[in-house]
Amino acid sequence: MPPEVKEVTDLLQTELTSVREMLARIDAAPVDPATEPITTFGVATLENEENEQSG
Amino acid sequence: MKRMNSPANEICQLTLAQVGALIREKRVSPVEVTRASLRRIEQTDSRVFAWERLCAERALREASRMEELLAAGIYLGPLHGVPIGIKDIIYTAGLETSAGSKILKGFVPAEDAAVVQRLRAAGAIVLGKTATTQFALFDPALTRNPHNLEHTPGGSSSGSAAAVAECQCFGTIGTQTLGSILRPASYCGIVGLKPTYDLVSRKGVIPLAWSLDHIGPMARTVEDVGLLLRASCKRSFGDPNGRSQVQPARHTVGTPDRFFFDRTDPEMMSAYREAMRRLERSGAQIREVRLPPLFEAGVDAGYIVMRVEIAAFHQRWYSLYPNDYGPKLSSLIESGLRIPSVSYVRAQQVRRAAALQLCQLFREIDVLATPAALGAAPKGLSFTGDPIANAPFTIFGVPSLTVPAGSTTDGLPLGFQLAADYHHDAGLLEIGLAVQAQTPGDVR
Repeated sequence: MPPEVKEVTDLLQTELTSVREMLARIDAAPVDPATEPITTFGVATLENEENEQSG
Repeated sequence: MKRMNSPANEICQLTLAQVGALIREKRVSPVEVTRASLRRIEQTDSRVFAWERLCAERALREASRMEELLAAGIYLGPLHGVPIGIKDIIYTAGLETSAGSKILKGFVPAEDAAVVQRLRAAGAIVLGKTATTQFALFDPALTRNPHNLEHTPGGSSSGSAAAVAECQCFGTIGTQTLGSILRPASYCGIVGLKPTYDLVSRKGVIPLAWSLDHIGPMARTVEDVGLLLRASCKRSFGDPNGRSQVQPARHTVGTPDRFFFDRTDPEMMSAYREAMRRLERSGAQIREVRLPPLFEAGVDAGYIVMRVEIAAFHQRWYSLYPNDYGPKLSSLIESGLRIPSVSYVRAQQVRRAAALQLCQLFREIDVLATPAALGAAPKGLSFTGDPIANAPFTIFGVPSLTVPAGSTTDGLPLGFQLAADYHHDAGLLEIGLAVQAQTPGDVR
């Protein structure tokens, strides 16, 4: 395996482990999915015309 | 008014507010100041690598126009004729914006980003584009820390921090999705401000993660970042210099019970405690506070949201040009593509609930004070440092500020971080001014 591919593979394994742990903690948080709105302060403002992304 | 006859390097050592005042009083001209900055860059950037590209001729033309306006009695404000830098993920009309990437090499926007339009309208002179990590994430730029060239300047606003610390310009605009303004500011010994989410428009800024991206100023003093913010933002946020209206001495400063200290190195902790003692001596009330129960889960949620939004933005380019992505960004895109949509929604819910709890905490205190990073700038140039000290305030969207707080025994800068409630940017700057006034030593 070329070194650059191995580096990405290793990083990804660490990443996926970290993501699994974070998702488990988020799932365990006492937040009711049935009642909590999903609009964060951020997402709510994305409709603002001035913030249309141009990237 | 007597004209100033200082060598170019002395002009460069002035703060933004100082040079702006000299320009207003016609003691130096915008062209002189712009030439001084360009000369300073020429002298120093071959070791620091803060700039991705310059637009010297255009900057001098704009400076000349600013002189003509002044001669005609038209003064645009404290940024009139002051040279600044713009991070290379922010659109500049007619000037390449490549985001530190091969993919966007040669991309020249037709328009300025909204923040650049505002700064130009306020009279600022854009010298060029400051270096960024690839697409503002973790794969580093060439930039080095001016305080020790073997150390990282931090990222992703690496060039923006180094250019200010090296006195190559009087302020810069950076962006922060986790800790990309405050961490490099701390590492380079300057002031960085991440405003309230959405206070500065993201129009014309290449996204990293839409609901986390913030645009903010970096400069050598709190007063200077206040002046840059006022010119940058979409709506009024109060008077950053209205010292008579706000009394920092009467403020309540919270020190958190956890999270920010576990991995922080002893020298940074010592600088933090000393800054708190100075605040207390100045009359501020210090109170230990319990962070909200959802704080850690909310931070986790932000890291999940970031991965998904990065993957969403980069998915198409990544499928076409995978070899043009650095290893760190590649792994984040790959993991973001694997996170289920249901988990993204859950993360946004938890993040919002945690943010609301943090708002409750700000009913007890005016600002929360923490170390600005885990320590001084790490040695080496392949790693830009850990953003964990700054990330919570980015994820929750509240304003945060880092102010220099001394240095290590090796001479590397340390930083002190303050965060406030939504839209309390002006109050945050007030307390930052008080911290700065009590910090020994000069601005670099």
